[in-house]
Amino acid sequence: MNYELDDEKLVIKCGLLKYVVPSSSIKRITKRDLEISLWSGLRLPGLALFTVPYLDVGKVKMCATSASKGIILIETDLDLYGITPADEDEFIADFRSRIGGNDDETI
Amino acid sequence: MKPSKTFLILIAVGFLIPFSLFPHVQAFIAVSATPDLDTVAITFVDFLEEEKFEDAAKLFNTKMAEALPSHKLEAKIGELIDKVGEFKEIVETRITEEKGYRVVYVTCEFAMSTLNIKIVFDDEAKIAGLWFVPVKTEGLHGIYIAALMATGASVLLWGGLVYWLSKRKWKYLALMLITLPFSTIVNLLIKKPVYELLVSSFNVSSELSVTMPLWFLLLVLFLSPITEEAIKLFPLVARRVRRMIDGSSALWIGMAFGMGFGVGEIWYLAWGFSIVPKFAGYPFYYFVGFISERMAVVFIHGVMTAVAVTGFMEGRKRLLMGYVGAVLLHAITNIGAMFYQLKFLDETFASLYLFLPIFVAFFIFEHLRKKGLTDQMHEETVLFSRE
Repeated sequence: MNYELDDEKLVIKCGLLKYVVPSSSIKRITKRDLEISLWSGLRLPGLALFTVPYLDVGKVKMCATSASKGIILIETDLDLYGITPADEDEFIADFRSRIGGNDDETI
Repeated sequence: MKPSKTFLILIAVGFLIPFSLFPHVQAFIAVSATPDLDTVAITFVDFLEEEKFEDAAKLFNTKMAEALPSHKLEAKIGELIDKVGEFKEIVETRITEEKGYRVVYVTCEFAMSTLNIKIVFDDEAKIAGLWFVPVKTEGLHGIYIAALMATGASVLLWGGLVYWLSKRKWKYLALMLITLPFSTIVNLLIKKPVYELLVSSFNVSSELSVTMPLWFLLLVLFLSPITEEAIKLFPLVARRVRRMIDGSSALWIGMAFGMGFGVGEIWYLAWGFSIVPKFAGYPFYYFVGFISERMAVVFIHGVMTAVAVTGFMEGRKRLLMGYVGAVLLHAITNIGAMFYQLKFLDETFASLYLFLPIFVAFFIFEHLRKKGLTDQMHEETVLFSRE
């Protein structure tokens, strides 16, 4: 897994799989557990790739090392992306420093 | 010109050498010359079945023909039929060698038992001995091993799924124990007497056939769903059980009751198979179809009961609607088996048909899970928001 962030976009990569997410389209980033559906996309222990349907949030474009636990969910105008950066704090701090936004809030 | 003695001797030796040097060649030729013992044995049994005792006795060697002439053979077979019932079919044949004799075991199914007809042949492929011996079942009956495997696989797969998706709650697996005996109870105490009553009241054959009136076939199709779906909900009579049910637990409690019933049904059916003589000598791997079918049915049973129990959450009226839904799903599941009994579908298509209810059950299961989620949404931490 590789997550590259610059001022304009977030590039999520794993092998041939590549998602380019324009920073301006990102509305919200949350961290949560997801409810797995039995109609799954490519989901193996320790790996979730491509579009995976979840019962609670619907379809998520996944590029993560976990299918349901502690997923960073990136919400854009059109899609949801699921990632699991090794250092979440650093990833979020980096994102905020480039984009700005609100502080942590638990619901 | 006469051939010389030396030349004749050489030719004779030339012919003899292969036979003397390669005894197995002689054996091969000898065996090829004898008739197929399997065929002789089956012909003999066919003669017995057709009561052609004189023809059967013609297959005996001299000693055997003296010891057991056709009229004695007829008497012996008569005594046998009195004990084990009418001859049904030949199940299999097996050739062995015992004490230098070639022996063919013809396994035959009779109305009340399965027997091996042991036929001993002499060197001329004539029958030199005849015994009727019971089929030995070595150790545990194959169907019980298959039932054990189906139970283990179902509990691991579906029990594991319920345990995992219900956030690792053992109590739901424990609830399966309540409904384990329900299949036996409903089959022996309710379904069987009701079916017998229907058969005698409407004066129809107890064996299903296409000649039966459609309304009777529909009655038979709905007999299992109506009775089984009702008994699976019986634990709801207990107030303690009803108190356990809420938005997040209804699905899992229903699944547990249905799956417990399904596992119990595995053993009820296994017992049913074990008393059929035809299956007496079958090893467990003959029942692979039984194992896979039962595994699927355990899950479907769970979903059917879950439909009714989640309905119960929304009031008694909804429970009734859930029960009707479960009955319909059950009837759809049973159509394949019924069509097989009516000979509309062969075994393969009847098995393939099961994929339809499995697929429907998975859809319903996921729908019920989604419905139950609103009450137990996961905690969410907002790390970034534009608003």
